[in-house]
Amino acid sequence: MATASELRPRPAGLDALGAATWTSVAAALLLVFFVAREADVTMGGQLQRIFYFHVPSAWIGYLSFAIVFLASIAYLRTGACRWDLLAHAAAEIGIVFTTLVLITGPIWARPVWGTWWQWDARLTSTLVLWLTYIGYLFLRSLASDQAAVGRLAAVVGIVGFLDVPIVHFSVQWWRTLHPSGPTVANPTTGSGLGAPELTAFFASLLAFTLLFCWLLSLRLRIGRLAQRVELEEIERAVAETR
Amino acid sequence: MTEAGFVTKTMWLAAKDLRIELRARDTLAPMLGFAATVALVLAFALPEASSGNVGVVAYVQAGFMWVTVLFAGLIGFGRTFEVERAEGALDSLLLVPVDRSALFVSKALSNLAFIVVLEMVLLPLSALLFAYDLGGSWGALVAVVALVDLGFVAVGTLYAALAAQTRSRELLLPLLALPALVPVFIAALELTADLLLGAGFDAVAARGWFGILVAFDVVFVTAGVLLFDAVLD
Amino acid sequence: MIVVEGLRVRFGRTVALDGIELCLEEGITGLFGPNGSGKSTLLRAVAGLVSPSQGSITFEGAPVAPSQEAWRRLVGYAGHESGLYPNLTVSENLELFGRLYGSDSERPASLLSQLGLEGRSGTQAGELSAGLKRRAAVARALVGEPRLLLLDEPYANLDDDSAALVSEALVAWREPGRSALVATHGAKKLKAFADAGVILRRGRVVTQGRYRDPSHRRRPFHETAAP
Repeated sequence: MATASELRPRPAGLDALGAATWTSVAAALLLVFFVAREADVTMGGQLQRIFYFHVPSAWIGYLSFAIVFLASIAYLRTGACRWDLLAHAAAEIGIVFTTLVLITGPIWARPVWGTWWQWDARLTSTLVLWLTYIGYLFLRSLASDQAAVGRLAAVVGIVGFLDVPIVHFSVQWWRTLHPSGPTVANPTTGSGLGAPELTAFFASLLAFTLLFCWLLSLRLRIGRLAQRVELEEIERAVAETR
Repeated sequence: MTEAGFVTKTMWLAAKDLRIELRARDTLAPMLGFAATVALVLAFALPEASSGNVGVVAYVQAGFMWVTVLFAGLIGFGRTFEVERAEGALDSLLLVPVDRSALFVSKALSNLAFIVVLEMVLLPLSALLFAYDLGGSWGALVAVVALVDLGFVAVGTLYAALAAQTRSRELLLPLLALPALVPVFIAALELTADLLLGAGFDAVAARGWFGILVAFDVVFVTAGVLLFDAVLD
Repeated sequence: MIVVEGLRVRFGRTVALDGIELCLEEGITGLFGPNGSGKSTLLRAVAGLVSPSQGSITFEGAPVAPSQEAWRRLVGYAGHESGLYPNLTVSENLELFGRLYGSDSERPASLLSQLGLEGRSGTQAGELSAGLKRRAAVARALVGEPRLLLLDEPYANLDDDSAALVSEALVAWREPGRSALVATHGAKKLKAFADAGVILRRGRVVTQGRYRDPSHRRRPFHETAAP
């Protein structure tokens, strides 16, 4: 019997995307570590370079969850499996990058602020976002009826994203009206970024975006293959009962 | 007999839930019991009003009150669909010629009734026990509570319906609802603390938190009405 | 007329219905088959409570559309659970659903007497014996005067007298333009008045035909054979 992978050879576009991703990742690393100048001490000196990873990760997180939102709407409207798969894939990748944001932030904050965590607006809303999509992935693994998973997850994908701006504003007011301890200035702007730093930053942003696209394509491909394998197994099970 | 409209049917459905609750008492009783135990445990962490900074005490009091309402509310909301599941009445209900959003509104209304009863017991009682100084701001507190309840019930009911279809609904409802409710909770906390510190209705209504609550209510009541169909289908 | 074409329903890796082809004319059709043959799933699929993995179901030419109010109005369904609110009395259950269906206000009371439940109208549904609950469930399914009636084991736990009440209620409900699909183990009770029959086994149709059809007189339906 032909296996799923034989029926569908890996598309050439995927390899090209992979090559582009890793080239841009290598270029971004060179720029970040050898071209961008050391930041001043208040921003953590060498440590400030973590923002070349931190900020693009946050961007990918938001991008992913926006995709979850749009794909969820599309899934509820059309019922087409591919939208559900896209939402699921984007949510998983979004969680990975948001986790990176939540890890890289404290690594920088500990020596610079003297504390791992601040209940600052941005940190708090990122944490809420992270918890929302952790809930989303839990739901996907706990739904009792597989046919219902997509629908239920789509509802959370929509509601969770609608909440993002409200959470953002409320958390921002919460801390700007009641500041306790040092408030956080925007870490990338206003810190004297020159042309080399901006080049490194945008190279990094591009590298992360390509990495995201590549991971998403891989994840979608895995999802499609899994569906195919599942169908084949059902066909076989049905054939045996006859 | 002419066919009843949306509002009438919604009222019948909500009345059905309330009548069942009056007989079975298996939602409100656990909610109240849970609220009482949470309040008791939190009371041990409450700073003495006389010793501490007045502002801090007001925040802690407001926070404890809303934590109690939030947790007890979720306990109650988790049971929203138990009456439908008991003997497969959900199947009957799903096939009734009623707009699906009427099901959402009726469930939200009965949950609203539960949470209002909870608050009517909890608020005066904690005002008494913890000597809240609300002065003449009871009316303002009612307005804040009403706005909070609306958003809380909308999100709670939608996610309760969703969690009811999973293998682990007791876990999933708070896991999904609590992050979504963060804005409501902060706004409730800020406004209640203001009231405890002596602000009047006008001062509270002028704050942006009022706007956050209204925005939240509008967004999530609409989302609930529109998305409930997708949850139940 | 209920037309089922290539209906396949699966739950995960279990195939509950495997390519059902049916064309059921109006009247009462018995649905027979051993446990696990897919009777309940077929009823739920026709009611729109289970969405097919493949295939289509239509009633009077219109596809099953549980999301449309107009379609739901046609259907009366009683599953293997009672579908009642256990803390509401029998008459409260019937009145609630009667009002939601916009049916005549006399309808609940007449169904109660038809099914011999008048004496129990004030009893909470959860306190009824299994047999009484079955009859109350049938009454609830009939309260909206459905044109498409779907009953899952309406005779379960019923003695002969109560079973006769259910049969009479079905016969009274039968009118031109109305179709019923009644799943049951006990083919005998239904055969006395059913118009047609279908036998399922392992999610497939083994036999189907109308009782008045002479070709089926020669091959009468038997009590369901053991799997």
